[in-house]
Amino acid sequence: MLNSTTVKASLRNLAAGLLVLACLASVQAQPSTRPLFNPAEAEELLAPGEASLTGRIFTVTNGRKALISFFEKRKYGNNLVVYLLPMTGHVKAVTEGVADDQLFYVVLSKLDPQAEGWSARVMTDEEGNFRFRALKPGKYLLMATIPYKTEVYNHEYQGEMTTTTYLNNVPIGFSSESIYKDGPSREIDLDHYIVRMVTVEADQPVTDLGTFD
Amino acid sequence: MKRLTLFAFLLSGKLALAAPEGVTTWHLVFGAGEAPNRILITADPKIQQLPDGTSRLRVIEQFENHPQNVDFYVFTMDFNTQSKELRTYKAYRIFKDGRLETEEKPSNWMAVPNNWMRICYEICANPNYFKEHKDTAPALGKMCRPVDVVDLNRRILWEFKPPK
Repeated sequence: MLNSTTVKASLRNLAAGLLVLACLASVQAQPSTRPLFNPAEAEELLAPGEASLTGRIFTVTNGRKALISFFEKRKYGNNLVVYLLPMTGHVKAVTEGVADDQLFYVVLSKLDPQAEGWSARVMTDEEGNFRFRALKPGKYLLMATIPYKTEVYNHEYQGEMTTTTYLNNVPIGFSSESIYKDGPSREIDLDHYIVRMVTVEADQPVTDLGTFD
Repeated sequence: MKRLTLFAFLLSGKLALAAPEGVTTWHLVFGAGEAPNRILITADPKIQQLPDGTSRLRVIEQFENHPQNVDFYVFTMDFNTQSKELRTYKAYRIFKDGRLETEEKPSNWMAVPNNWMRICYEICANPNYFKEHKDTAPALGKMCRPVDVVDLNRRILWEFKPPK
């Protein structure tokens, strides 16, 4: 049975969905001056070098990035594929001037899907560590997806409870309180996308990105 | 063994995701030796036919251990299937410590020796080789860089641990 909160939420989701579609459509409709993806250029940039890139990926599964990592629930991305896209003219044009936290949206809407295929790719180990070997120094676009489960529940609005306070049968005050009911919790599957620009240093054999999400 | 095969399949399946046409599907074609001195040969089935009738094949030879700490070689080899001869057109090798050495000069032609190079010769001589050897020359996945193939091979075939 639908209540008003559910209907409102559905309408909000629909509106948000339409907005995203409209944005994507406008992006598609604009005449593009970006260079097309060139596999030969990617292959050249992926030719063997002597540098390595290491790191460890994770996501926070309780939706909270705490200042002190003790409060975070981390899931490390084990046995996952990490992609490293060379900075071809196409990738450069798509990502140039884009802030790190916006890279995911840019990749989703503007990057030629072929670019993901023409990339270096490795599997993470059981602890989420990855290592790319035989790289040429330079800039790359690193991409990974960590699937995880999180717990959600519905916080449903039930109505208002009004309280009237009387003194000698004379009402002297009113108070009102919203009533909510928490539904049963359930697990849902989510994906955490990692998209970031990285630089493989020329002056050191191993560039370590540390642990990041 | 069944579990290993399944895990290998899942890993290679993951790596094949989002790989467009044109990206090499590497095939494992030969393995030899006992741990810790095993070798593996992986080949790119895209054989380039040159105007003079030569077949050009890209092959990776990787070592579990090597006396000079070579991790792997990538050979671009030419095969003359008429005269049963081969030469190395170009090659590079990467050492365990990451050093890279390249050889851009083609070697002299020589008779095909009776080792893994014989398999490579058969791949060039028989256009249906991979169809006829599905079980002994399985596809590993689509990957651009030979080094990623080497690391995947090492992980799934030499350092396999059941997933936790």
